Amino acid sequence: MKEYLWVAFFLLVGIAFCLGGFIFNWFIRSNKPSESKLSTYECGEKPVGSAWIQYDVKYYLYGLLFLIFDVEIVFIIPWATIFKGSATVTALFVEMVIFIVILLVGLIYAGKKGALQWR
Amino acid sequence: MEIAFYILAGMAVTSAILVVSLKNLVRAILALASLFLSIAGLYILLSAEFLGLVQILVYIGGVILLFLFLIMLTENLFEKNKVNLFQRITGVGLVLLLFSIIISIFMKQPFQAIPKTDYSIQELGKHLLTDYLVPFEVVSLLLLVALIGAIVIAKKEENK
Amino acid sequence: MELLYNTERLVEIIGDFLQSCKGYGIPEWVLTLGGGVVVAVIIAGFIAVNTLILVLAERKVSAFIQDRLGPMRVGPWGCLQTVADALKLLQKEDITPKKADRLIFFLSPIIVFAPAVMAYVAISWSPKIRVADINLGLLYIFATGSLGTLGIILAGWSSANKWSLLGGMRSAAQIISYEVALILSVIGVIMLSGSLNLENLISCQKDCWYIVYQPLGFLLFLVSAIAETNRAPFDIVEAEQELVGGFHTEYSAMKFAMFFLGEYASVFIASALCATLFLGGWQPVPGLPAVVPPIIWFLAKCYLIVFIIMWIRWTYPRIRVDQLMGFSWKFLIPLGFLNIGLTGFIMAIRG
Repeated sequence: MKEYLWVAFFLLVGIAFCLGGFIFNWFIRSNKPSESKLSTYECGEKPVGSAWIQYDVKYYLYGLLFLIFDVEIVFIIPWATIFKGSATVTALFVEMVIFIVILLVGLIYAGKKGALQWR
Repeated sequence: MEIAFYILAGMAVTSAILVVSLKNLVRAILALASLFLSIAGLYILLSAEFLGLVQILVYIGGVILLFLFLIMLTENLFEKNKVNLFQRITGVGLVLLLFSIIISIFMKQPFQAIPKTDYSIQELGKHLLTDYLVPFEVVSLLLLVALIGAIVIAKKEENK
Repeated sequence: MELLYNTERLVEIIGDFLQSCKGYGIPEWVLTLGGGVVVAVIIAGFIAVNTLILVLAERKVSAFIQDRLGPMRVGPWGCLQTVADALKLLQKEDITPKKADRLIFFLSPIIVFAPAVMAYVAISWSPKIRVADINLGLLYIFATGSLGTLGIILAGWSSANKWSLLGGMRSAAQIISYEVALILSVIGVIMLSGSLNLENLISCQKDCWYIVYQPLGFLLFLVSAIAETNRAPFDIVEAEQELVGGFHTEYSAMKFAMFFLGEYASVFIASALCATLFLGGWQPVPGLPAVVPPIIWFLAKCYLIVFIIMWIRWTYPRIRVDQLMGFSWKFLIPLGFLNIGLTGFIMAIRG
């Protein structure tokens, strides 16, 4: 448990490092804002419309696919840690093959439906 | 230990309030991420190290990202949307119903201190693949169903 | 000289010094905090200096590969070039576009950089040098990696720039696609050692490095790690010709520097992880006598991987975005499952 105190401490260190940099920069920077400097950068063109518009559904699909495989990995990791030196290695292996094959069917289905294709 | 609990719990409650009160959806999601992070901290405090890290990996790395993609999918994010009285009443009613269900389950549960044991990941794996083998394989089927459902819905969206 | 040779002594000396301070009536918590600050300064200094070295190395390696000289003007052999660049970046004007969401625009560089710093907690530098011995260190490093993704997509969104947002979205989609392949590639190593603790993983490789048992896993890890850190040939997110500068187009001064530091910090973490998992960490080549101190071995292996990553960057052309996504889902992930299956099969046969 104690080692996670270090994790919390390093979270604070990371934030402090950033803030320190920002504050130092704030003291020595030049600051001459102008209308065109503060406008959105589009290589010199005048920006048309907002950037916050509707984006493609494909990103969402990749997000869902990732979530499903992420959850799968969460189940594979505990299995992987008990594999070495186990008395029932064959049984463990077969159990995991079943688990993975079911999901591979899903991956193949996704591939067949063209869901993995970036458009 | 106790101080850590109060800090994390305070963080969790504050971010939960921010999630529902912030008007800007992306900021609300950022608050949700901080809620998940503090809950992960609470898990680790309860020596459920694996659960805490998985909480970060799956919830912040996956679910929050999915929410962000979902927001990018919505149009007119910042327009004032009008909520009529009927929607308001249904919303409040549903929340109250859910709240009462959760509270009633909590009241039935006799809470007691769990004997301090070593919750190692190996122990978890052993239990998962012996005592809970059937649910373990069913999880795989469940994930398959979710995968197929996601593809079907997304394909429908694309064809529109 | 003896200190350099036996780096563990340095840790002991600092520890002894702090212990001896107790005699002078300094309260315990001040000492604990003092020790923490010393460690934090060392790690933060390492991240900053390492970035300067890596950027210079990157430019020199690219120059060497393209038969150029690279930076030569500032300092002997141009070795102060990145220091000058950093100083310049430090005094630049900090611009927040008018349309941007100011709060999130301010927070995103922190969300990218802080997790990269947090990952250094779990790294095992040598038998005695490490910040904390985290039991599930491997999973912990992956968890910090997934935190950084959030910062990238938020940076793209808060800039209120179409190209930034597109770059951030592409980046996030790419990172999550390759993260699956990345974690799958190390499952074989976990199966062989039965542990997620980096310390344990290293000591399991005393006789034979895992690259021998897991050549496929090593290749998968290297490829997905390059893609995870958004580097060429997978740097579609900042493809200059299409997306201006990617998700950090609108960023300037220190905020931009933080993205840069975060990127190089995670490149180093990826190579350190690669060295730990497949090349035996701080252990010398099996059979060689332990003459060189372990931390030198560890750093040498890390920089070797960094060099390979740079070599790949300057040799291969950029992959198209549709090929990029297909490559992970149709090629790397099935191969990752195949690797798990093969490892399991062989281990089951050999008992």
